[in-house]
Amino acid sequence: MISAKKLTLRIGKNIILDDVSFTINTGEFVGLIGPNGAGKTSLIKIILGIYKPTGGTLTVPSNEQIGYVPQSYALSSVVPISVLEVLKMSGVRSKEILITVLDKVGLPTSFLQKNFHTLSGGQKQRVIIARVLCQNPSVIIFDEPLNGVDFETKIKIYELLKVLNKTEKVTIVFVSHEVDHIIDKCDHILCLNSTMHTGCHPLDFAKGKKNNCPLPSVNTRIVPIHHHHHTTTTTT
Amino acid sequence: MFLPEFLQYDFMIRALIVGFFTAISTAILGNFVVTARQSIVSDMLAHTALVGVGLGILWNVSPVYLSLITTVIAGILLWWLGRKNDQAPEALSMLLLTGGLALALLFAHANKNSPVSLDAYLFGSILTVKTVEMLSFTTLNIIIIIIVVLFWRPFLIYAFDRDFSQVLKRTVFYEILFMVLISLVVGIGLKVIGGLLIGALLVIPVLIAQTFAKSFSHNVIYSVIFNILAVTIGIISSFYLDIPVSSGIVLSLIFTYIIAKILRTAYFTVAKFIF
Repeated sequence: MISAKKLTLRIGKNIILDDVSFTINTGEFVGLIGPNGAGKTSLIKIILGIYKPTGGTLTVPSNEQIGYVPQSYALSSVVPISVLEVLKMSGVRSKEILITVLDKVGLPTSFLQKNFHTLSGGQKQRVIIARVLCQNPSVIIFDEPLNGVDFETKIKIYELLKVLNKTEKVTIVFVSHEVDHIIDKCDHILCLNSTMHTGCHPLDFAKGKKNNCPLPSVNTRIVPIHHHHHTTTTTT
Repeated sequence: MFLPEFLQYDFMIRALIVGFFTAISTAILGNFVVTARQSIVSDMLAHTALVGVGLGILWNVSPVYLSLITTVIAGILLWWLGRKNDQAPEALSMLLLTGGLALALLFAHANKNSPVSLDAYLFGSILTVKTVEMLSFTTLNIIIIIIVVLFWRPFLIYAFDRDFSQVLKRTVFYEILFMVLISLVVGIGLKVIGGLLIGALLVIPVLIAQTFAKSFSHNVIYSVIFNILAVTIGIISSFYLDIPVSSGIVLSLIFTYIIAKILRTAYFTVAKFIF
């Protein structure tokens, strides 16, 4: 279980996160939503230990191994690199393990020798997910992994995540600004809002409405993260 | 025993030895540099390396080692500026690039009677490498190659996937080490090929190899081979054709690049007809 109490993050004068509290239970499939600029990536970086929060506490049990799948556009290099080399970045060298992991994400063994850059968006994502799986994570955080991926691939990746969640018992934290795609997949949605003081309803973003908050038609628990501030400026 | 004419001169042998090892280290590092999209960094560092040359001219000491020191300092400074991240890094690097050249000019201007000319370091002067320099450059190149091989995985992660590298331990250490290695290679390159042309040794072999390779390690091997060939051809052709070594090296790299592109296009055109 990962729990955060009153997390605050300031960078210079900017308040990136203000008084953010939430809990992620073991084995859950959690959506983390919020508009661009709400601080989703910053929050992830705190969970991953890249950023230190300026206030509040984050509790991550020491046996929790957190894996991370970054946004796909971050991997836009041009020098050839084989899928095998990408997977070996995880530190796992045994080819048998790598083949097993590749199989889990639905890619054949022949992919090991392929140039990563010649793969489709969805295949690249699978390779990156496989790399994370090599590290035997108990939690995987996906930071908007489906940007620029076609609809059919999105559905397949969701299914893969669902399988990982159910059969491998991996806690999934899925970050997105596209609420409509994840709302019925998640056990629990965390909403990070920079525009309202009392949290928000995710469907608002999907429909572009801010004042109208219809109840979700699906069986999903929505937990607003209280998040007081919106952007810049305080001089304290 | 029969020796070709160019091997009968010590300066040629020294040049070939220094060129050989520099070709290897620049090609290997170049793959990481291009993958990390930092090609412009090498150019920036080369300009700041010239500050060391300027100081050497001013103080009448050997510019070679001073330029290694200034490059490493500039490399670390650039890393630090890049981390602050509130302004575009390639724009910020312009501060160091132009500032370095301006300082180099200023220092060189202050001592007009110096036997050393700034030109030699702008365009390289591998044929004038002394034995001591040959030994120190070669040792340094070998150390650089060993370090890269030892830290292959973290460097590759850093170059390929910055987000993922942040999750790993000791990222800062690897980032600085990587920057220091590029700085050292650039410092050596100043004498070998010149500050204005060092980018060629780091980047062009990588581009050539890309037309054939399917994996990073293959790309490294191919680029090392092409770099060694180009440097050797450059040095030998300067001996027989009386052209500047650096021109010979860069032009043979570019020529190889064009040939590689043509071969690749031809291969795919033929393959389309056959399959």
